[in-house]
Amino acid sequence: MWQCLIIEDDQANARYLANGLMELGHVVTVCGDGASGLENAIKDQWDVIILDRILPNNVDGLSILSTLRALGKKTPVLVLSALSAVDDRVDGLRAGGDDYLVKPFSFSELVARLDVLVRRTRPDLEAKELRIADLSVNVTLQKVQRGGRLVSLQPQEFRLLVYLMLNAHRVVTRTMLLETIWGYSFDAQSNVIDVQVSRLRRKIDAGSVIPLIHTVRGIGYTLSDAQGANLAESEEK
Amino acid sequence: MISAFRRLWNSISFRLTLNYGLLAILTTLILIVFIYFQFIGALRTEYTRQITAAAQRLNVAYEEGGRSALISALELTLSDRIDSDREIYLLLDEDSRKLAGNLDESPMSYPTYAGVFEAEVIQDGIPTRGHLKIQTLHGGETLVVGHDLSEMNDITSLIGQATVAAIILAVLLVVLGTYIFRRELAYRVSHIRRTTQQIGAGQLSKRISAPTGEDEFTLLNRDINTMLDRIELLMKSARHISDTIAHNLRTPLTRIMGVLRTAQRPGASVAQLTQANQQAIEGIERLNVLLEKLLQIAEMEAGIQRRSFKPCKLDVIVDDVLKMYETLAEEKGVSLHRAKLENVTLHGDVNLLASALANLVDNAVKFAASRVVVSVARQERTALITIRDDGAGLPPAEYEHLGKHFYRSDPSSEGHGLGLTSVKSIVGLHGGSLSFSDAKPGLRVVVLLPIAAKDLACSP
Repeated sequence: MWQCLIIEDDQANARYLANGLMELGHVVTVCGDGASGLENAIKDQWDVIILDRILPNNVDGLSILSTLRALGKKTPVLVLSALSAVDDRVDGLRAGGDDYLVKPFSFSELVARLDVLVRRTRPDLEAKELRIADLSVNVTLQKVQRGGRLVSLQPQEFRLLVYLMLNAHRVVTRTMLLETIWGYSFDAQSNVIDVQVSRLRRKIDAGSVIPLIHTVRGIGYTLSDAQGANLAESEEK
Repeated sequence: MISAFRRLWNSISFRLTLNYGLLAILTTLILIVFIYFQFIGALRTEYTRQITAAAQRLNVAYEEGGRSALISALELTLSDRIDSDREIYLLLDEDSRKLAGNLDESPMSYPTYAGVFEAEVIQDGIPTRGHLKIQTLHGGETLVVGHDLSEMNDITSLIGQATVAAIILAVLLVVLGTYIFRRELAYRVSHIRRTTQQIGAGQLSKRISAPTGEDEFTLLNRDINTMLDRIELLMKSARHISDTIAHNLRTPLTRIMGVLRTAQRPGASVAQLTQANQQAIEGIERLNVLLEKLLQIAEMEAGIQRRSFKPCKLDVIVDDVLKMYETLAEEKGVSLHRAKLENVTLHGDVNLLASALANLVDNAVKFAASRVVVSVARQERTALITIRDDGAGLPPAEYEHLGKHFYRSDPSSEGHGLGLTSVKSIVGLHGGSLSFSDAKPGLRVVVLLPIAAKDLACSP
């Protein structure tokens, strides 16, 4: 369960986000303007802040973000914007945003990104050894074992697997994978990512009873040993 | 009267010619004044020289023959009829009695002055001005030698008359010139104005007739016509694009509506409703993606994203994109080859360039029979990326349509028909160009990107 703060003046959109997040069992507070948004952001402890760029009275959401960072608050912030230029992404990230999402976006993409943001603040990121079910990955030696069987992976396949392991039980989208594995941010054509994931899946899941890499239809992928369960729900234990 | 002048004053051609005319008159005046003073100065020097020479001569006569010789010399000079009406001579004895000369009385009120000076004298009863030199001879006589100024006054008045005549003539010419110039200018400008007014009223196909010739107005007319052609073309393509957008949005919207209507019918099961809901959401999300892409293309075509430009290594981007596609190509039995990847650094947006290249490589892999060859080369100030497949290729007649909004060479294929449009706008944003040719077999796509001068230094 996360404590979420939504700073967004568009009531319809704010309600849509709040309802969606509350259905997933999170606690949501909505602020309609910049002043109260900043006040709340400073006053309380949040797991994640969703910040709209364009706020009433000509307030740029990024100024709130800068203030927050200047005060030493490291709360993860996802910046929302209807301005879809690449410039804005650069601005948003430079102002101290952790991620950036352009309106209109799909709710699943938002949740997937929030999930990663919240997770990022937790300390187990620097693990040398990642393990889930009978799959183990030694990050330093770049060694992958599935049920005692050594799996040999291409460098990008290894990066893909580590990213999936770090975000185990969470849904990651194709754009997120492209950004993390390749360092580029654009909408990938057709099924470049799909092909790579399915090849990785063949290598990892070959001959195993429990498949670990799952496709989440219309959204992306997840690595999990929770069998066939609704993944979003299994996350909210 | 005042309002008529104000109306004239508002005309730029009137003001221009008037200013020009006034400037011409002023220049002439300055020239005349200059010449006048030069002339007078020269005349004055000449008189002084003459007076000094005459005084010298008379002095010599006096030294040699005394007073009587001087008197006879004076009388001779006055009767020789050479300039005698302009010459001034007067000899007075020590008691200031006139001995000889053509002056009625001595200008004695003036102090004896060594040099030549200008003074008022009375000659034959007529007051006049003259240049004078007064000497006291050693016998006590006073000798006045001079030259009257009537000649100089004549010249001055002549120059004055000439100046007045010149000014009158110049003013007349300026007025005439202004009139002609203004008429010509008004005629040429009114031509442009008439056409622009017609265009302003909506007749977009109107053009200014540009006669052959190379004068400024003909060139301006031609430039305006070129501009109008470009605007008309842009408007037509904008209209075409909005038409296609409307058309391409209507189809998926109708499909979503259909799904929802079917689900609305009484007796639909929960599973059916959920499925319809899911289909509607997916349809709307696809539309979102489509709009997003259109917006991005529009923004790039407007050229407003250059702020994020940084130096980027083109060969690295190409290599990354090829690595990205390696798995997909392998699955399709297509091999990816790097013919050569020269080091090229240019000013651009890494993500946009990668997106464009990914698009092109994606197409090549899709249509290739067995191999795709990619190369990056540098030709002076241009980076050249070539992507060649060995598939069926496209008929050359299709090349010009590639990159148009929603154009699909194979209408049955998946996608929005925006891939190449996006590539084209990205390449355009970087100031480059995109061209297609027959690779025999297959299609060759060449991307030309300019390398700015400041990036040349960064390249090894």
